[in-house]
Amino acid sequence: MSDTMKEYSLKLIGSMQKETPYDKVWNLAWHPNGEILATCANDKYIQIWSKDANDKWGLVQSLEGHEKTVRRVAWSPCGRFLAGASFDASTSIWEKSKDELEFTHVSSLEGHTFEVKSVAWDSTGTLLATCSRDKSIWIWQMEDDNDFECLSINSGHGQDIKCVLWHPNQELLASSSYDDTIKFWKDIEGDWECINTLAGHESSIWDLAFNKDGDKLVSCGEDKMVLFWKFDKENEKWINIFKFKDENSRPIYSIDWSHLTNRIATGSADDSIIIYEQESNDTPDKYKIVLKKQNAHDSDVNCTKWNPKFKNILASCGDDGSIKIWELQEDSTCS
Amino acid sequence: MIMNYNVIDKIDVFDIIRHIKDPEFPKTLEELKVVNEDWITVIDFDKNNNNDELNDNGNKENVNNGYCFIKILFQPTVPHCHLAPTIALCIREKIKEYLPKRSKIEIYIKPGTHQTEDEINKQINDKERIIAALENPEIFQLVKKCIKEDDY
Repeated sequence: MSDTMKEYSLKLIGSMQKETPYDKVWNLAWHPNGEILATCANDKYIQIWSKDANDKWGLVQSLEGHEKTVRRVAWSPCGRFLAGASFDASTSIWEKSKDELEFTHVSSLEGHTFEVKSVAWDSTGTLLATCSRDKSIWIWQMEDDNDFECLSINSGHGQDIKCVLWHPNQELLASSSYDDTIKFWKDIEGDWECINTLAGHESSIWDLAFNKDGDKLVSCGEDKMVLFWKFDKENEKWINIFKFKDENSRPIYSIDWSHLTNRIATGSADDSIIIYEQESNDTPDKYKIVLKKQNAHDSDVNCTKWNPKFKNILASCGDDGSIKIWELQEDSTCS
Repeated sequence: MIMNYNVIDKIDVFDIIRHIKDPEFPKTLEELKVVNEDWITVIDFDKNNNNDELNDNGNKENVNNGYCFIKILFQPTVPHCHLAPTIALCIREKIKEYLPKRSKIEIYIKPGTHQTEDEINKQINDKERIIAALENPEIFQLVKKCIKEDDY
């Protein structure tokens, strides 16, 4: 055991509030440059936020077009496109103008028969996956003229699909569902097939995150559990390696794995944010809690996302209509 | 209905939901014995101090200040009642609208009173399903009609 005890605190460094208090802000996404945030909410808007000349976060643009709640937003890896998945059964695509922070609607992906719950770009930025309460996953390919062609419609989950997420460097898609399972999907000779199904959660799985190398995955859900999964190369299967249970008193809606610091952040309906990290350098498959921030929001925390460029910067949003920027600060003290 | 309580208890919650009209029958949930004061649990966390900073050190203590946790069991009129999810929505929406305080609400079928109890319990507590149902204009109108306070 080391004599040095690290103490951490989560310091609030920025805060934005929706005009209507207690608008549910469902999801947020950092632009790849780490300086712009996109959020979406039950007011049907996608909103773009950034810092002004005085370093104060503020609203830049509200993107209007959806007829119902916008559930998730996702930036393309190059940061030129933004996708929004909506309960109106469509997914909108927006393009950022070259020199200015201004967005125009370029495409609308129609096809799902019920609410679209999640959207994700693959690491190359050419494939897009969407999923819905209609139990299907659609894989779309972006064409040169901002047109999207549906490559495949995948069924396999028995219930709503809550989340889709691409592997950080392979053409491999993970999905999580109301049917309590996680599935992996891969293009096998032209057909997208489910290649692995993970059981372990006891209720709906709300969110997923890969580590930087993509050999580990974390999942969280309605059952208040955080499960860690690892790719077993020998058997070519994902296996459960670690679990946190009942650290939260209510469902866990979001999880994100920082590719800069290897830390994990969750957001829960008990209003808290919890940060996890690997227990020690010698225990790659064990994890510990570094910090628990109670009352991070005045209501459910719906989303927690690490900044992709600046270490230890975390953004969160919730049912209190606010978007918060936090800095995880480490103070080393000798005990 | 005007309420100004310091601490919310199950009687307050029951007073809010007892007059909800059944989506099908011209009676209230109380008259149909769908809801009962004794099937309500309320924990009001307002009594706790608002002291964030002490809890930043990873301790597993629970300081849920500023809201009340409400758990409600209800008994559908028949074990195959297809409107059970709508009744749950009405209960949830009426509390949200009339309780002068932030709340976290869990609603469950009274054990043993519905054929597909587990399925319904999952559905009526799923945050996305709740929001999506309320964005359906037909369901929204029905819920509004059932929770309208026109007797006073």
